[in-house]
Formats: sequence, structure tokens, C-alpha cells
Amino acid sequence: MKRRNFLKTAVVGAIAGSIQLHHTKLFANNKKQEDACDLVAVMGGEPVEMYTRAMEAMGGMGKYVKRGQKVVVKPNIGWDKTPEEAANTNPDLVGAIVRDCFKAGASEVVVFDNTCDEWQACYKNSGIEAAAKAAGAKVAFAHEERYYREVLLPKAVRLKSTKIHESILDCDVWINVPILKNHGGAKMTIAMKNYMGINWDRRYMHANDLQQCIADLATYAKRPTLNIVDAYRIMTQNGPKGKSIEDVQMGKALFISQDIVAVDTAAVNFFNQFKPMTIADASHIVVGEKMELGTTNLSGLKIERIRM
Amino acid sequence: MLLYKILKRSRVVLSLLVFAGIAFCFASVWIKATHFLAPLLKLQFVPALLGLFAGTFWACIALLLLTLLFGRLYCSLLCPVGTLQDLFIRKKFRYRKPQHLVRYTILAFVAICWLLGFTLPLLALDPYSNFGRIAVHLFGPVVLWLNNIASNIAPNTLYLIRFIPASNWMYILAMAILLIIVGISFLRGRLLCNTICPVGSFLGLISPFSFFKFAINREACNHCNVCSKKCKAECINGKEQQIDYSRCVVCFNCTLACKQDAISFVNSWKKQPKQTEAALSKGRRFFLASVGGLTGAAAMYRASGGTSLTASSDKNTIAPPGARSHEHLKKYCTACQACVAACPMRIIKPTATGYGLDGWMLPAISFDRGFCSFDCNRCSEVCPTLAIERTALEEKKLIQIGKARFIPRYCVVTKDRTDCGACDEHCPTKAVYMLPWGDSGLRRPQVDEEHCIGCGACEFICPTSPKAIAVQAQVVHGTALPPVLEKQEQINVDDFGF
Repeated sequence: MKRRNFLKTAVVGAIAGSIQLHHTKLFANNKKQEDACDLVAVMGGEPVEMYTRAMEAMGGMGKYVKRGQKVVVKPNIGWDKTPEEAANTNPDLVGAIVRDCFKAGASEVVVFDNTCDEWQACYKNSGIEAAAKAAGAKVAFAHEERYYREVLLPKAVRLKSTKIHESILDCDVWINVPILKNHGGAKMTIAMKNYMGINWDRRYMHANDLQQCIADLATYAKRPTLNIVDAYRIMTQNGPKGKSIEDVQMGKALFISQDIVAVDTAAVNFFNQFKPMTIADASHIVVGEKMELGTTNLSGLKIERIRM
Repeated sequence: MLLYKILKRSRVVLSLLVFAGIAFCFASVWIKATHFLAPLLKLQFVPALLGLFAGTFWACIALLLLTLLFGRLYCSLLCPVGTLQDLFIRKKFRYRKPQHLVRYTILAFVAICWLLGFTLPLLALDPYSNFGRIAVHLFGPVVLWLNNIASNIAPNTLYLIRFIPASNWMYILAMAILLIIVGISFLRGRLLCNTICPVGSFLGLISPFSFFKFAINREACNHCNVCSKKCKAECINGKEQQIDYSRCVVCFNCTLACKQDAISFVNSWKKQPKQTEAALSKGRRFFLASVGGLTGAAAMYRASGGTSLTASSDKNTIAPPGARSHEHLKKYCTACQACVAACPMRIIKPTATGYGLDGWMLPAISFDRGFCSFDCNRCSEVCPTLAIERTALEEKKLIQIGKARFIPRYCVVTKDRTDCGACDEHCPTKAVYMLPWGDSGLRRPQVDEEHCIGCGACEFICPTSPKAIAVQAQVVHGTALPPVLEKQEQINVDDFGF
């Protein structure tokens, strides 16, 4: 009897172990799977349809979000501005991503940002709070230091430790959803710069070599499983807050990649068609490559370009 | 009897509702939760009186009509300090002689000082403003503390609110005011209202002539004196069967206490009762006339453009947008702290000496913990006087409360030769903008003062210490040029660019 029990346990354990192994293996190798592409670029559609097409090309949300996982969707909600002013991520896009996560079996989806303007006005007027809640997400508070916890960044050069929002620390996967904008300080704000909203102390980053700190923050071990760049409306001047609707161009594009440096490089190249801009100017992207966060060499990647 | 019971109960219920509404308005720590209650503040006597200067007559007329109809019902119904006192009144009383000399001297002093441009006595004695101070600085922190305890229990529904302390003296002062009010009301009922309070004294000049008044039926009265004992205003002389209407706050306690049903609330204009005449003694008449004359003279002096007797203010003090100037704010602000409570960014705080000694407790802006939101004019919406004038949002966006100054040698870009741009990033009008700095490849901020509104976003976010960009106050607020819209051609792109 004892022996039988032992065998039973061993078999069950082995199965469980192999499933576990299989699971992690899948996860780690996502990027290198032969059938998937490294970067998808879509243009010419509305935010949600572009997203849907791009996600199909990326192999579907089920590849990135597993059943029962806690997911964070992190848009840019930095400013007390309307969607038309293009200072914040498109709310329809955020809603679509949240729904997709639930479809893939997410147990919980959290949306938040550490805003620059008064947080309740940002959450409301960006339309993101309403869109996220309508899609079933929880909209987390992020306006007080107590919602953040200290994290060490061993690979960082200047930002050796920082306080990161608890919902990022406690989630299984997170999806980075920036909007493409010009930026007075960092030159561009896309996926890497969007990390500043998971972090509490902005001033430290500004005072300690902003471009380096942006790259440092992106070395945080839990990388986003996807970076989805909203380039439907793009702010080409007076960014990141903008003065008026005059600062906005219709980009009608969307980029997705797991490689944060690649997606930022692609977005800068796209932006360059509206206003001259290089990754050398937005130097945190170059620093990011040096710190092995991804590649700026797009020609080495498998890219799918979709026109709608 | 039943009628009086109903009247008293309705008065108590209504007064508690008004009290709760005003208290909530001040002590609520939740952004935008108080919006619908702000009109309640406009029905307070001093704000209503000051409102006359802004062309708002309805509130003042309503209050005068109320007094002319029912006597000093205001003191038992609308005044939050009145209701606060009633919560602590438990004692038995006895008739006491009025302190007319004290009360009218105070009233005259307050009025004359205000007319001469010295607002401190008014703001120190206005019951409404004192209640504001208690509610904002004592009740407010308690509400905040309870909210934060509750937010630990329900972290997804209730958000944390950081405690941002005002100055220590403000807490001590608010505590002292509360203790004085509660202590005096506990020992002597409405003594404060009938001796110190300028609003009570002023309404007491009208109430003897009100339409409805309590009257003692001399035949039915058996001199049991229970009415005197129940009168928290200590104004019923049971022996003489006389009521001092200048002190009666129309609480209905006496009618309900009288076992003989000898006290009724009746139309007094039908037959003129003798006691009204008796209440106004010769000496009091003379005194009132001379005080009235003095007040009139002071009013003439101000109207003819005489200089105001006010201490000079600190030119670095930033007044909230809509306050127009230090002088304007000092003239009309009673330091009720409504704007302090309403500011979503919590940048408005009472200042000790920022407006000179007579501008004690008046609101001033500091950018240590936040900046003035571009799309917000809450302070002007809640201000019940015209101290912070109601401004449309588009108009407020051009009010220049200060101007940002850039000090290059403190700037991160100069010192460390790295990118920063935090100030430019936060500037809502783009008065702060980035220019290439030499051939370093870096960009450094510049300030276009004409477009700057002094909102302090740049100062708040600037990471250096001392700040490389800081707002210099405008003692008299200016008007900024509207932001220049930089039109751009819509570019049609049909390539990805990579």
C-alpha cells in the first residue's frame, strides 16, 4: 500500500511538475516562437479595429495572458485632457484591451496611472476610468505614496531603487499602453517613458539624468508582456501636455511588440514623418538598447505591416 | 400647544440639517463632494451683507425679511454657531439684564473698523467664519482620519488622503474658539450671541419690530417663572412679564414650558404692546443714535475714497485667482476657510502674516504640495462673499496670480548637463518652453511672462532645491495673454517610416 501511494504521488507530482515546466517554458519562449512576429504595425483604421487586427497577428491575447492571471493594463492618464487632445491613451483602446484580457481568462484587470494633473480629473476627463470600468477592470488609486512599494533595480545605473505601484508588483503580467507624443524633456514619450507612471517619485528621475533614469526604470525585472503604442492621435508639438487640439495630428496607427526598445524605435520612425525626430534625440531609447532591454535594429526583426 | 410643538420640532430639525450641510461643506475631504452645498454659505449673514457689494441682493433681503417676520429666527435656524451652542445647552437659566452697552459698542466698533478698511474685528467675531475655522481645521482632520481608516478596510472603494497640515497656530486657534463657544453656551446659554456676536446685535436692532413675537398673557400667567428658567437667551423677565426681543432667538422653549399656555407667538403689529417701547430706554436710544452717526460718518469717509486703515501685506503672498488684489481680498474676505476646504489640490492655506497683521487667517497659495489646476475655479465657486470673485473657467485661465521666473544657475540642465524639462512638461499655457541650449544638444526652459498665469505647476515639479523656477506673486492680479495656438497643417502619412 505504501509503495502504491508513493507511486501515485510520484506520478501526480511528475505530471504537475511537467505542466508547470511546460508553462514556464512557453512563457519564456514567447518571443522566439517561429510563427509569431516580433513587431506588428497597423495603420489606417480606428483604434479598436487596428488593435484587433494587430492582436491577431501577434497570435491573440491568449498567448500573453493565461487563465486566472492578474493583469495590469497601464495606459498614460497623465493629464486632465479629453481624448481628442491626445495627451492620454485612447480610452476605447484601453477598453478593448481590458475586454481581451478577460476573454483570455484573466481573473482581474487593473488600470491605473500616477498622474501629473489632479488625479480624479485625469481619470474622469481622459475617459479612461469609464472605459476601463465598463470593460470590467478595476481602476486603482495611485495618487498617494502609500500605494507604492520600494523595489531595488540592480541593473540600473542611476535609479538604483525606486517605489513602484503595488498593482504592478502584485500582478502576474502587465501590458504597457502608451500614447505617442513629443516631450519637452525626454524628447519623445512612448513605451519606455510610460514607465514613469508606475513609479512614485518623478522629481528624482528628472534631477538625476532623466534619459538614464527612464532606461533604469525599464530594467525592473517584471517586464510588460506587451507594449501597445496608441498612435491614433499623436501630439507632435507642446507635448506631453499640449495646449490645444492644434497640437494633434491624426496618425491612425498602432504598434505592438514585446520588445520595448523596438516598439519605441518604430514609433519614433513613424513620428519622424510628422516632425523630425531620431532615437538619438530621444536618447533613453538608445540607452535602453545598451542596457539590453531590446533592439533598435528593426531590420533584424520579423515585422508585420498591416494597412486597413 | 400642538402647533408650537410642531414649530419647535421643525425648527430643530431644520437647524440640524443646515448645520450638517454647512459642516459637511467645510469638513468634507472628498474632492467635489461639497459642490451642491455651497449656496448654503451664501445665506449666512455676513457673507450675505458683503454680497451686497457684488450686486447679490437676494440673500440679504431674504435674511432681513426673515428677521422682520419672525425676529431672530436666523440665530436658531441658520447660524451654525447657534446650533453648535444648542447642542451643549443643558442648564437651567434665570433672567439677566442685557449688556447693551457692551454689545452695541462691539457692533459699532466692528462696523466702523470694516468701513475704514480694517476687517480683522469682523472676521474675528463673525460666527459663520468662526464655525468655518472650527469645521475645516478640527472636524476636517477627524473626517480625513476616519476616511483613511475606512480606506484600509475597503481599499478599492475609498481612497487615501494624505494629511496636509495647516499651521499649528490655526489648530490652536480653532480649538480655542470651539472651547470658548462650547464653554460659554454650557454655562450661560446664548450669552455669546447676545453680548459679543455682531450679527446677533445687529439683528437684535430689528427683531423688536418683527411681525411675529412671543407675547405673555398677563391674565393666564401665574408667575411660576418656568419660562425664564427655560430661556437660553436669559431674556424673559418673569416677574415683570416682559420679554427682551432684542435678545430672543425664537427657540420656542418658553411656549412649550408654560403650563398655563400663557405664551403665544402672535402678530404683534395689530396692537402695539407697551413693553417694546419700554425695552428701548432713553439712554439706549441716545447711544444707538450716536453709534449710528459714527458708522454713517465712517461709511461717508470710505465712500469718498478715504485711504483704508490696513497694514501693508507681504508682496510675496499669492492670493487665489479671483481675489483681484491683496487689497480686495482683505476688504471682503472673512477668513471662513471655505476655499481652503474646497481646493482639490489643497494649495490654499490660511496665512499668519502674509497679508499684514489685519489679514490674519486669510487664504494664500503655496506650491510646496501642489499647483493651481488649470481647469479648476472651485475656490471662486465656494467663496460666499466676493473676496474670491466668481469667474468663468475661461476667464480664470487668464488670471495672472503671479509670474514664473527662471533661475538658470539652479537648473538641472545647467548643473548636470542632462535633460529635464519637468517645468515645460507641466506648463498648461506653454509660457514655459524649451529652447536649444548652445550646441550642447540639450534644451533649457524659458519663460514667456506675458503668457504665464503663475499656476505654479513648474515650481511644484521642479526637482532642484532651491527651485530653478519659481512664481513671483502679483499683489494686484494681472491678465495673461491667451495661449497662442500654433496651427499646423494636417499631414497625411501613408507609410510606416520604417
